[in-house]
Amino acid sequence: MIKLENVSKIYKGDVAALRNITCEIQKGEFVFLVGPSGSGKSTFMRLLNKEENPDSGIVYVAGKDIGRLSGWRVPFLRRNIGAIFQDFKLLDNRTVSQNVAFALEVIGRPRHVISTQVPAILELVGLSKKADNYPEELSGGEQQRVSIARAFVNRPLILLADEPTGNLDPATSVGIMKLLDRINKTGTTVVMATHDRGIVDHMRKRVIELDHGHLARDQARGVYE
Amino acid sequence: MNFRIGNLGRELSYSIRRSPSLFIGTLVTILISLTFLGGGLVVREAVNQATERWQDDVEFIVFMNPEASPAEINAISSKLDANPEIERHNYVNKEAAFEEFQNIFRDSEQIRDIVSAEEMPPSFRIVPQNPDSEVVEELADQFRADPGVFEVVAAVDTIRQIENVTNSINWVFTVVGLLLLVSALLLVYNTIRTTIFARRREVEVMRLVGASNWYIRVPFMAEGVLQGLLGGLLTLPFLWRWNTFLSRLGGDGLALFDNLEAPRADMMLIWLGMTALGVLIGAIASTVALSRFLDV
Ligand SMILES: Nc1ncnc2c1ncn2[C@@H]1O[C@H](COP(=O)(O)OP(=O)(O)O)[C@@H](O)[C@H]1O
Ligand SMILES: [Mg+2]
Repeated sequence: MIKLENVSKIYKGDVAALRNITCEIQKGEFVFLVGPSGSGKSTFMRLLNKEENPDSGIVYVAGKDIGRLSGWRVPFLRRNIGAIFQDFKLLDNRTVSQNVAFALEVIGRPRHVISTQVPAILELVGLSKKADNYPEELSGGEQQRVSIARAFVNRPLILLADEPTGNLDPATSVGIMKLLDRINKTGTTVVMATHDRGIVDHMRKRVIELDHGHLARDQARGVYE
Repeated sequence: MNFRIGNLGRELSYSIRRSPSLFIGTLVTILISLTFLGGGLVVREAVNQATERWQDDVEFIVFMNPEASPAEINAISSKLDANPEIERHNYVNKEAAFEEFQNIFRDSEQIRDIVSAEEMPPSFRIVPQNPDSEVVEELADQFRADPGVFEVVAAVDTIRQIENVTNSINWVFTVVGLLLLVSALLLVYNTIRTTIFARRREVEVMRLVGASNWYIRVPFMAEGVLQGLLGGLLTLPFLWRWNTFLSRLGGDGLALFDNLEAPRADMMLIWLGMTALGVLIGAIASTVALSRFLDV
């Protein structure tokens, strides 16, 4: 599903965020990307949905070399890749259901599809009762559920989660991890960057560790350290 | 598609409501700029119209009596041919003169209908070797007393003065118009930049979930283009008023100085041209702003 071959990324000012990374992630896997702040986790993710391009090496997504994807096709790549973040990125002036519907509207989904899929996905993330609330009326955990609903409503093949529990307390984080696990069980490949040791040790999934941009460890059913 | 257009309308009204003062300020600047540019063109058309007989270096005109005999006309023609100080001359017969008159007054039926071709004076349009006013006056005098001649009119003063004055007006209008056009461009550019900034979170999410580049761009472009379009369309009453003002300024409709007024069809063309220019300005400024501040 995802394959990196000798991928390096150097930002301006000679910051080597990734150095010669080679790895492969199969369809339906759940992978933790661990490592200290600045080790290159976010850069790894941004290469997958082509928010950044590698300086060398090849990135394959769903069997395609995305380096050769022309500009107008990138949006279609992104429709297959959901993404969630530490800061949720919700729109404050829209309700929960409007935030989720937005993701479908802007890719031209017809109204009747939107009106059936939005309630269904809110049911899945357990927020049916909050459909008409605004983000500021929700707890952090609930806001992250909205952002997961938005990322998943289009049924992407891959879900990228960049430190999704970074702003949440441990109890709330467990709930989010259960939700991500459920999404993974539907066949969606999940890549999650984190430095939350407890979560990684508890889930016992594959662990890829980055250290100063090097791939330091790749371990099936691994732990944080 | 309806859904999209509905969306566009909502987006536009959103951005206008968000900062109406910036929107109106930009609109008014575009309007004034295009009014100046269009006004300059109207003056030019009006003068072209008024001095139609005086183009191509014609310096004086010998008007014959409408009843002048062919012999009298031939005599003048031979006299012109024989004079070495005359470079060339052009004979305009009754029919051609009538046509010209009809053309000049094509928008004023009352004036147009009071004459017939029979009543029009035929004339010679004369280009001398030397256009100095004294030389021209002297040449013109040689024909005043000839049989069949109704009137000899020299361009020297009035027409050249009008041309000079209107050239200056035209120059000032064009420069002011262009300067305002530059500020209009910058204002549209900044309006779009502000809009992009205010909506950066939305844009970020749209990109993330895979909205197409055009879907993201069109509302911003539409805002710039709408300002240009409205600014251009609204020039009509101003250009109209300006043309009416010019027509009051002058024109005895006779020998020397014709109707100083841009023909209606030309006015409309100028108006459409200004509208197109407004749209172009809006499109250019928003495209540049988008490529700088919206890296999709
Ligand atoms: N857009 C950028 N421009 C320049 N340097 C960047 C940029 N993004 C990240 N970096 C640098 O690249 C390195 C890796 O960053 P990042 O991928 O964000 O790591 P992590 O997500 O593991 O904290 C860091 O040194 C960071 O400062
Ligand atoms: Mg990061």
